[in-house]
Amino acid sequence: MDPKTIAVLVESCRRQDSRAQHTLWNLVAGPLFAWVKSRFPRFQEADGRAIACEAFARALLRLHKLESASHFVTWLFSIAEHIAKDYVADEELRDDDIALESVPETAFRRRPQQDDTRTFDDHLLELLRAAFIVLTPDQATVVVWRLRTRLDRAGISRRLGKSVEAVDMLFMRGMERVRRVLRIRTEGRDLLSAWEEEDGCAV
Amino acid sequence: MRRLTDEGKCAAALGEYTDLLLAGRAPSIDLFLRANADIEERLRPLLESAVALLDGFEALRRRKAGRKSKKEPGPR
Repeated sequence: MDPKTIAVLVESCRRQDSRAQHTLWNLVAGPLFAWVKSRFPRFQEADGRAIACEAFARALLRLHKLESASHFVTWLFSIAEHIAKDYVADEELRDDDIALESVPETAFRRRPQQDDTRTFDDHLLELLRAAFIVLTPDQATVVVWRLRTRLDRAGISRRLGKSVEAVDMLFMRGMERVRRVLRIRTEGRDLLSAWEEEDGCAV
Repeated sequence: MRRLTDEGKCAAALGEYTDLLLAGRAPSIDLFLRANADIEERLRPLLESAVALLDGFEALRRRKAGRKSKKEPGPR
């Protein structure tokens, strides 16, 4: 890819020249797809191609935000990386039945009972199910996205359309409730009635 | 510049620590709390819960990955 040719084509694309868009795509599609494939080897070929196409389309739509045409390729690749990471996160969310599976015994602060045949996963599932009764939907989303899909604050903020500060606050309040669920479970009390007793009102 | 309340500081510190955990660059909780001594009482249990839950999810992820690789060898 000759940088000068790319820069000229990008400038033409800014003027809505559809032939330039087509030529530019022909130039960058191969390297972009190869890069997605090497960076995210788990993706199926069709997914990799879809990500490359979407990245190019988003780049064209946001060309007015690109200051220097010579940075187009780097910018395009970073857009593709964001899309791919979001895709991985979505896939993990779709992929399982969990949303809510378990936490280690140490988190429960109690020793397993001899007749307790539940697995580690059963415990995590049970804990999170309990937590999700008392978390608001936004808190639950942020807690799961943060800890399960490993999205960082900026990524969640982008996806939810909320500020990073708002995401931090949702996460903290969600974690405070998770913590409270852990404590109530450790004390062996029924979650709903314990919550109601402590708050003076129903969940 | 706007001053953060204790709650805001706590939320920001928890967010920052979780990002460090996810990036595999988190210091120990005690060390991190040295820089946030004024909110330690509220922050410590939250950091401990985040570490415990993240460990749980990690273990689950590894187990699922193990199950998947047994079922379908090779890249997808």
